[in-house]
Amino acid sequence: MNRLWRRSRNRLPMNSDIEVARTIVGVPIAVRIRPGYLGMALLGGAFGTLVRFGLTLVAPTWATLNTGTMLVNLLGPFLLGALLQSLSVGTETSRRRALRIVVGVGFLGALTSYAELALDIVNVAERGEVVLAVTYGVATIALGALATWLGIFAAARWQRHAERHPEVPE
Amino acid sequence: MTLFPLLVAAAGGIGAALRLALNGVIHRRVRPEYPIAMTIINVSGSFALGFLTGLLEGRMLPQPWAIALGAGLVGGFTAFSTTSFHTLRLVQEKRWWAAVANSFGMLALAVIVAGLGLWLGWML
Repeated sequence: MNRLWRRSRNRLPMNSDIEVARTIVGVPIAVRIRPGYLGMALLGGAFGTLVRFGLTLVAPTWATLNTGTMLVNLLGPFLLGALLQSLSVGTETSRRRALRIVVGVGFLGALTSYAELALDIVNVAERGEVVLAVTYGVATIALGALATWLGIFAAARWQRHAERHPEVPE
Repeated sequence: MTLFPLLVAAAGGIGAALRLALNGVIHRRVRPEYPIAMTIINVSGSFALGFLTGLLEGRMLPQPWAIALGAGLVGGFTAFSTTSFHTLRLVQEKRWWAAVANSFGMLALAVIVAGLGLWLGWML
């Protein structure tokens, strides 16, 4: 567990949207944004928004809080952690770069919404339920970070499993 | 009207592309050790969503516009997943104060400006 924590710390970039950790030395390198990357973010972002919009429409409201927003704000960090951990080992290719931008920046970024979280808290606080507002904020932050870590953990476990049981080449 | 969700999705895609562009520009200019770009993005987005909702409540903005711009553009622009990842990375590097600022500090700021935006939009 501890080793896994250290390993992911060495390999994952900090500013995940524009940095890629160099695999050999672990030093993050910044990616130059090209017009094509913006197109990729747009494509992924459109899908992410569509899923979030659909979910917030059908999800039930609990104490004026949208459970759809809650769900995407847990699912998004989990999947982002898993994605970035899976992409942290091996050589960075253009296909992997595209995956980072379409799925990581675009889809998962747009799937979650920080503004809706903030406004939900304002709405609850406005109704005088300050305790619920604070609890919701603190819980979302804590669970979001935990979900990220669980995603990293799950992907790292899967990677180790794949290392130990390599597929037999045909 | 059946095409409306696609409009929201397109707006969200534009928001996500804007986020990437802004992230790139800010980080090339200042190369910060702290993920300041996402703070700027999330806080300004929270203000914008508050303002749009205020306008909607004050009947200054038709609902489809408020949804396309709020749930679409602003929703795609801001990101909770990236910010959670940054917070976890700051915790991993034992930069405790930076982690607190990036999580609780940012949310407190976002809630305040969202309330301010809501009030401002409603007053107009």
